[in-house]
Amino acid sequence: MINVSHFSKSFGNKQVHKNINFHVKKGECLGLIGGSGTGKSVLLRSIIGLESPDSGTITVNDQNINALSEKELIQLRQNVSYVFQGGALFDSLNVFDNLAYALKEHTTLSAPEIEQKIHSTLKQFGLANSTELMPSQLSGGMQKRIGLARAMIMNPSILLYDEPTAGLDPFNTKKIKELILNLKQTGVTSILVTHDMPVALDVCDRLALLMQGEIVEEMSPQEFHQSPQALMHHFIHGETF
Amino acid sequence: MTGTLWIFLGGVTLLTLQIARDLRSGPFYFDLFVEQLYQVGIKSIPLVFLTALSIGMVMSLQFGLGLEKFGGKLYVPKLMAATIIREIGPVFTSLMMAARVGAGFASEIGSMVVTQQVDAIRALGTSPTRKIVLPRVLACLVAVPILVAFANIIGMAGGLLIGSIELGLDPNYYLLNTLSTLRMSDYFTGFFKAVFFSLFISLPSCYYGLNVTTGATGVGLSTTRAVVTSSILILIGDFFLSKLFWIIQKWG
Repeated sequence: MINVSHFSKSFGNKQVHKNINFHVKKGECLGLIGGSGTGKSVLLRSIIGLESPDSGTITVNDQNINALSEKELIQLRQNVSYVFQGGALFDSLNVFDNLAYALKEHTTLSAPEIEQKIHSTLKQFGLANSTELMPSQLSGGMQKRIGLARAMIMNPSILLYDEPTAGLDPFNTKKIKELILNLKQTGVTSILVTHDMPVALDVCDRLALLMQGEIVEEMSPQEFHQSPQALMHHFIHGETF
Repeated sequence: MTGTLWIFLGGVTLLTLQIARDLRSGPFYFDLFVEQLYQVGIKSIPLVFLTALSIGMVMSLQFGLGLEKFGGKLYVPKLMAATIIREIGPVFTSLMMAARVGAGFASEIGSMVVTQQVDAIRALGTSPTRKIVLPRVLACLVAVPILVAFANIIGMAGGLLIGSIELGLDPNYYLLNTLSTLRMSDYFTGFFKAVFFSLFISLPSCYYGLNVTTGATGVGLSTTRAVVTSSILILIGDFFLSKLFWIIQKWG
């Protein structure tokens, strides 16, 4: 479903990725973990074509992302959604219009159908009475949940999460985790970039540790629990290696 | 410096080509265009009114005081008409618009880049050029020439006011002289300058806004660059456009 092969990316003189290789199967959730500044978000942005690689290839649904024009990428993005770290809600639109954005653009749904879909989605996210609120009136947790709702409202087959629980209180973290698990049960393929190991271990099928521009370790949550000497344990405990 | 100039020229050219491509096909967001027309056009009216009125009054006063020494006070209406329609109206209105609208475009788009809203537009399968740039550029193309025409009228009204009150010129004489001085080519010169100036305002401002790289500092820097670049383009462009129209008029 998603295949990253020999991916490298630099910004100016700084090489962020040297040689990244991984594969995500249909319906699978891959947890991408690593220190700050290791380029996890850059990798995620590259998968949806918001960044272009210096070398290597990324294929999504058998389509080579690098070879697609912006017009073709627009088509692809209707099926691949990105959950931004801060929500990235349009601050000139209220919650309803933020959620209606993609539906108005890419579907032929009537206004009542769009309204119904938005109301049912917001109810699912525990935000039923927030349609008229502007993003500036929402808390951080609400913004993240609305961002997640906006990303999944088109029923994409692939979801890319960029630190969805960063900076949230335990209640909101639990809410987001449950939402991700619910989406996973519907067969959505996903990549979760996070520092939140409890969430990653509960949600992901596989974990990949990104370090110094490469994937240095890849294992399942079960393997993680059974391998106390794994690099990931050192990473979690803030130890050098 | 030269490198920056080439990057700017290349970037603006690519943006213009993208706008041309977007104009040819795909959806056109009429509601966004109308919203920008309101922001750019209607909301600029008070500023343009005050600027045009005060410049018209000051020019009339200075021309009157200067020409009075040579007994040329009667030429004030003719001078005012030609200067305002051909130069002062388009240039001053556009400079005010560069400060108000250009800064607004660059900072608003820059903030959207910093808060990942532009990325979100792309990630949701839409085009930032179509959603952000095109409505702004078209709104400027429509609003700036209309505002220039408005400024011309207000500027000449300001001149007439001072001409009759301070310089003792008969208002009917002033008006008649103004109208008889102006030719159709003068109106066209001012109009076409305004069309070019609207592009000099909107394109660099959108370009700098979209290319903000760092946070609040980057937005500030881009806003400054947008206003400075637009203003320089208007002032330098004015000379070349004046020269061009002068040559065209000579041929005609």
